[in-house]
Amino acid sequence: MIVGERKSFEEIRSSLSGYRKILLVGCGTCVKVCFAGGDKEVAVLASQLNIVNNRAAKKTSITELTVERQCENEFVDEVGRAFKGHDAIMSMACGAGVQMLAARFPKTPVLPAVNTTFLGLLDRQGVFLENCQGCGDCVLGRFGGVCPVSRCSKSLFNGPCGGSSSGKCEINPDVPCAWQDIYDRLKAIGQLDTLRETEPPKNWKTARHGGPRKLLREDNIL
Amino acid sequence: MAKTPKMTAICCHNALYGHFERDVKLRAGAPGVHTVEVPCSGRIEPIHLLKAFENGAEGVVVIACPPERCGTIEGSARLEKRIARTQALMAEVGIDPGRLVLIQADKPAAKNFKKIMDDAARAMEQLALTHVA
Repeated sequence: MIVGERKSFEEIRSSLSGYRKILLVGCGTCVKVCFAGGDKEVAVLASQLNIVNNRAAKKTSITELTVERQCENEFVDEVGRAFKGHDAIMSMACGAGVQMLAARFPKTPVLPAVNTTFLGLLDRQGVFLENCQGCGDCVLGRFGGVCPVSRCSKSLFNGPCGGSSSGKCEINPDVPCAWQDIYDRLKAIGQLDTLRETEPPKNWKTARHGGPRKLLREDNIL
Repeated sequence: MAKTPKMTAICCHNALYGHFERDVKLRAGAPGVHTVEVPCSGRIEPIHLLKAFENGAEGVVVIACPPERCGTIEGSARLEKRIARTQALMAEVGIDPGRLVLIQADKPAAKNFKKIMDDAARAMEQLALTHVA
């Protein structure tokens, strides 16, 4: 899932300065799960903005709307039906959703309320961990299911680096050493010998380094 | 003389009347206090508390069971976290976090309800009132 965090209230308030009728749009998928931009977070932000605007006697109105996913046109149609009369849209979705709305409403300012941070998993309730960077060439099968790109601070393919200490990373002692985890996993599945093979330099062309990516599924295009 | 704040109370039914109370004759309430009862304090979310302030409350008191006595096991513990979260949200919009108070009642609070609210209101009179125009 995509993980994000709501921007500071001050940054949000500053970016909305001057707009009178704001459509605040949440997303019911990834950002809802990580408590950044779902329906509840939309309600909370709207309430905060109303409190501040009421105090300042500003006649600013906030319309709240949450759609299933902001990254799909089918769901963004609902925003289109609610949009009339608003002079700005604030999106609480990830960057993909914000850009979808901006493309759909090219003559209206579309502002982000969330900082999109990483792809990750829910380790336990309230704890989200980064474990994928979308490199486009998954090598998890060679490393016991532990990703050296996202989980190793240095993205080493022939680790460890020598800085690993008691299973923790030298860059951040709160971060488990990915190569310790890789070793433990490969040992558990009887594949430690694979570590004797030297991994060649990774071709990063399939990752973001090769420019913005596109997936075409012709079998789904009419 | 300081003005008495407009108060809202959001209360767990069990914290007010005790567990397994079915024949409740005494209802919690006090003059001028907007009182809301919920089946468990775990039902209370930050938006409920913020909305009270947005709608003009100058102080909010939440009455809940202590976590070790919560009838739904986790409800009261979750409420504690949400109170802290809401106080952070209040601070973001310039409302003194002291205007949101959690009372964890060891015994049914309905009989002491007025005193609880009066004590909370008195404490809040000293706080700056910043969110009301």
